[in-house]
Parts: sequence; C-alpha cells; structure tokens
Amino acid sequence: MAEADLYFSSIAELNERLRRREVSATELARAYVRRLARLGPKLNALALPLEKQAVRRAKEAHKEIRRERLRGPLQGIPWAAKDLLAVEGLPTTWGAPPCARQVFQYTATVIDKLNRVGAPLVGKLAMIELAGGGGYRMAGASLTGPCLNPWDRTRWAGGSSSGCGAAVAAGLVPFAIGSETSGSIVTPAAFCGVTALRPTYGLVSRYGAMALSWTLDKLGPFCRSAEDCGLVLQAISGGDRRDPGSAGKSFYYTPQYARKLEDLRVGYAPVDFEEWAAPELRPALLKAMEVIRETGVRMQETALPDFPYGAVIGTIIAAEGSAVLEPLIASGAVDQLVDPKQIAGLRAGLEISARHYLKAMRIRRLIRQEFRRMFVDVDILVSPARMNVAPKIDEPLDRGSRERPAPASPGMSALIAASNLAGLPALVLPCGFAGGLPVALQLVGRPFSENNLLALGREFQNRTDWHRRRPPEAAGT
Amino acid sequence: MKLTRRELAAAVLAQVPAPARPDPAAELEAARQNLRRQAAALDRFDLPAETEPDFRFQA
Repeated sequence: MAEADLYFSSIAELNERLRRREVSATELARAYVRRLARLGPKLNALALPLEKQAVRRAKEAHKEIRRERLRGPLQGIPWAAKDLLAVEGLPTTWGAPPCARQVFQYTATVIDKLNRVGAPLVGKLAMIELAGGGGYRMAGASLTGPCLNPWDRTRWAGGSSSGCGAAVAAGLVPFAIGSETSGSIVTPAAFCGVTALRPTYGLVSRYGAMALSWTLDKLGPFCRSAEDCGLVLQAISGGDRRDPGSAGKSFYYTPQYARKLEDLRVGYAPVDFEEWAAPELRPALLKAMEVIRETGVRMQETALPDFPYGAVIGTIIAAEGSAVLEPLIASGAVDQLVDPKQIAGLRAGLEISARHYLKAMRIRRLIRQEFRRMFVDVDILVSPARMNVAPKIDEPLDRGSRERPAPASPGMSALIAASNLAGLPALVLPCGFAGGLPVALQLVGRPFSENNLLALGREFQNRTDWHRRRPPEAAGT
Repeated sequence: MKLTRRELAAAVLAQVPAPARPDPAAELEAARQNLRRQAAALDRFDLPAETEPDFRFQA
C-alpha cells in the first residue's frame, strides 16, 4: 500500500492493518503526527500539535493490541479535536485571540471516551473564533487565520469547525470531532467534501466543550464515510450527568439491523435542487438524487412548514451566546477578536429582551411539533447541504450571494436552521463537484434515528465514490 | 545602509495601507438593526396563547 493510501484509509481499513500487524499503532500515530504538523499549518488547520501525548497513548494501544486486549474499532486510530474541547493542562483557545492562553483543569467527556477506547489524539484543530456566535464576516475570523480548503487553497474550508473539514479532507487525520450550533458541522463538511454526522441534541455529552448555545450545541464526527461516522458516534455517545442537556441515551451502530431501504420514505423539495442551489451545483445534485432514488427508498415531495426560522435561531444564539460570553464582553477582552462583526454581534446580543428570547423559544416548540407531524409521513429529509460551493477566502461571507431571482417557494432551504432548532440529526454526504469544488447532500431524520441516516448514507456510498476522492495537492504528499 | 530581512519586511509592510477597519459604532448599530429585524419577524408571528417555551429542551 502506498503511503498516500494509508492517509486516506477508512477506520475499518486502518483497524484491519493494525490487527494484522502490518502497521503498529505507534507507527500510525507518528505518521499522522508528522503529516498533520507538515501540512496542517499550510492550510491554517492546525491549532495545537500533540505529538508526545499521541505517541504515549499509541504505545499503550500497541501493547494492548499485541496482547489481544481489544477495545473496539477505534483502538490505535489517530484523531484530532476542534480546539473548543478542553484537555486538562493544555491550551484550549476557542480559536479566539483573547483566549489564546486559556488552560482548563479538566478534560472533555468525548476526549475521555476516545482515550478509553485507545484512540490517540494527535492534535487540536482550527476553528472560527468563539464558534462564530456573534456572527462573522471574514474567513480569517480565527486565531490561526483563514482555514484553506484542500480542494482549492484560494477558497475557505467553511466554519466554524474549519480545521475538522480541512484536516479530514486532506488526509491529515482519519477522523475529527467538531461542533455545531447551526451549520458548523454541515458547512465545512460540505465545502471540504467529507462525510460528517451531526447527532441528535443530547446524544453526545458537551461537558468540556465551549458553550455557545446551551439549547443548540452538539458535537459530532467528520470522517471518510458514513460507516466511519457510525463507529465514532458509538464511541462518543452516551449519557453524562455533567452535561445538563444530555439525553441519557447511547447509540449502537447496527447496520445489520438497519431498516430495509424499501421501507424508508424520503422527503425532498424539488425547488431546492432546481432553484435554490446555484446553477453550477445542480447537475451534481440531480445525479445524486437519482442515486438516492435507485437505492429503493420511496421518494415523496415535501416542504418545511412556514416559520421565521432565521429570526428564531438568530435570536436564541445571540441571546444565549452573549449570556455565556458576558465576562469576555464586560471585561472588554471581546475587542481583541479578529472580526469586528462578531465583536458588535456579541455586544448587541446582551440587549435582547426576555420577551423576544421567550417568543423565539415558544415558536421553537411549534417547530418541533410540526417536525413530529412531518415525520409521520417521511423518515428522512434530503436537501443540498449548502446551496453554493466554498467561497473565496477574501470574499465577505455576509454579502448575500443571491443574484438570481427569488425561488417560487422556500422548499427546505432553511433546513439547517430548522433541523438544529428541532435538535434533529443530520448526515452530510459528498455527492460530486462543481468547478473542482465539493458538493454535498444532507440527510435529516427524526430524533435518535442516526441508524436510518447511516443506512441510506452507506448505500449511497456503496454506489458512488465521491467520499473517496482526494484533493489533488494532498493526494500524493 | 544594510537591512536585515526582518527590517526589510517591516519596511515593506509599513508602506502597505492597512485595510479599513469598520467604525465600531457603525458595526454595533448594524448588529442592533439586525436584531431589531429579527425581533420584528418574531413579533409578526401569531402564537397561540397556550404555547409554552422549551424551558427544558429535549430533542
């Protein structure tokens, strides 16, 4: 196997090589540490290399594998974390200049869980400062500068889990853990062409993760395939009394018991693909929908119920985010942030009235009720993950990209905001290219239906190879 | 006069005009306007009186 093939192997493939002793966990960790340290900074994707810790943990994994003390498919598999997950005694910067020297004396639950299954953490990855909670205008709104897209370094990797998308796409780690409040997993996964899973709210403990919005934050994996997402989710899910939002549930990846695809009803809105998506994305998206249809699922047209999704989620994130970050705002340290829009957004968020926050939360209850009704008729919703490809790094991100006439109806164009408000899981599937840049679908299901999403995602990836494509510059290096 | 590479870089950078940073007061006003637009959208939405907020949010 060529060295480059190693870096783009799935978790199952790497696990097989470890078991057969073709490569040791220590060799694997050292190889990824070197690659991450060499290529991560070129993409502005690396926040903190963790060579010593990774090699130490890999040596333990190596010894255990040699003694047949097996801890599951992630044993010896290197990974990296978005730099909003605390590791005791090490810097956790939240991607923000005022937090550059921040060190916590505890470790995030997801990191503890991955430590316990023997997965060596090789580094922490770049992110948009403070996960972009106050809003941001610049791809460079980060302590580490603009995170570059491995498919085209003049383009942005997406945010706020920028480094997770870029690092997995460039083969710098087999998987990464990022976070989403509204779009921060879906966007970088779509822009970088990697498979990612945003779990149901409460399924993965957020203890030790930077809080932006208590009622919206989720942690989830960026991987090489839907199958890998299932394996990682199984390892990181589970109840945690230290996270008040924890649902107290575990997830077991059980493809052998997945529902028959013929029994799954998939809802979609034609207007998303024909009008909302930018014209250059449509051929890839329409072909991908043909593949979805060929899997045997039952397709039916649908649309989101009419709610002011943007205003509801914007109000909740601004109110909760500014409350969480009030000490930073009150001390004036907020002025050290890179992006002036974020500084202003966080300050203004403190002025949101209780009336409007509560109105947003009341509407949110109706949104969840409507989704429950929708999921009587369909099992999965599918739409473009993003309506455009990754923007240029010097392009203002808030410059409204719509120069086309407004589509006839909203379809499911607000699915990211709507599904986050309802706490629903989403799976991002790379599904083609437009002008050399990745295009992706998102599948959204009812709460705790991750196995349904993964079953359809796995079948889609059995029939396509978009998830195996490698960025030209990273492929041979 | 001999310049080190670092001094040369500093001299070059000094000649490059810094990108105009938006006026913080104008930024804050724009952020407030955005929140006002959102508040107006919420105000326009008719809600049944019995609708309670999600005090304890669960998916």
